[in-house]
Amino acid sequence: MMGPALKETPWTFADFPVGETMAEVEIALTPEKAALWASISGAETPAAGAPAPRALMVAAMMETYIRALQPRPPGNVHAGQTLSFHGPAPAVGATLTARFACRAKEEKKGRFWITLGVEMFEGTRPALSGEILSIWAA
Amino acid sequence: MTYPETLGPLALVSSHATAMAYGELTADFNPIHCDPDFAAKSPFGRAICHGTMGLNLAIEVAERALAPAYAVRDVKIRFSRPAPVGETLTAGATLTDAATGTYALWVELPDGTRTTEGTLTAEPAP
Repeated sequence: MMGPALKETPWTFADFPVGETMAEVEIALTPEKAALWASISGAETPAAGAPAPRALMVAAMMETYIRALQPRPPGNVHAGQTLSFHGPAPAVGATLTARFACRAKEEKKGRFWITLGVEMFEGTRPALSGEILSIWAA
Repeated sequence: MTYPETLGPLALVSSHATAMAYGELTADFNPIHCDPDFAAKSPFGRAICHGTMGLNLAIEVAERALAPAYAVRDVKIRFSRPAPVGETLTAGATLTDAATGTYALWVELPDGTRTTEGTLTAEPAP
């Protein structure tokens, strides 16, 4: 597996390589994470082995996004998001692999817009895909 | 079977505690969400909620309302306005195209300001 994209200094807009896969990160949809989301949202906590809430998959995607690119400048803004869920939801307890690629970047009115593609797999089966649109802080 | 006309709403009272809990869930302790002093000096002037916390509230309520016959397939949204930490977020969706199972998805503040807007498409459960 490729692993996270780690640098000595924070990732800047200039560093992002458009068109390239940048990182792969594994994450487990643990019962503890399911319970934490339930405590925030007021949902019932799913049992280990039950289908994971799709919100938990999105939270896992965000954690892998944070872990995939380090360090980061403070103050990045998440501006938009697309998501596609594929097939049945993975079970609570499953491990997913997230792959990130830089799909586009553009400087507009002094703001640094970055589009990262994300694909999450359970084994070889696609589970979630989408794009994260961010305004990078530096 | 027909798609429900509305999904939700579902509300969440945000706070520094929910920001920290969501930060723990996602490993995202961006100071714009979790450090009121840093956030006060940002263009937002105060800490703002993680965008995906509101988005996930909408996905959660949609999943609950659609199950067991349908499931969430696609979501496309913009985080159109910041949601200050401390506000109540209310999320839901309204059916706009019964043929395709497409909904207008929203997250809003008590004054009606929409902080997240977009579309959600459902499909028969896999």
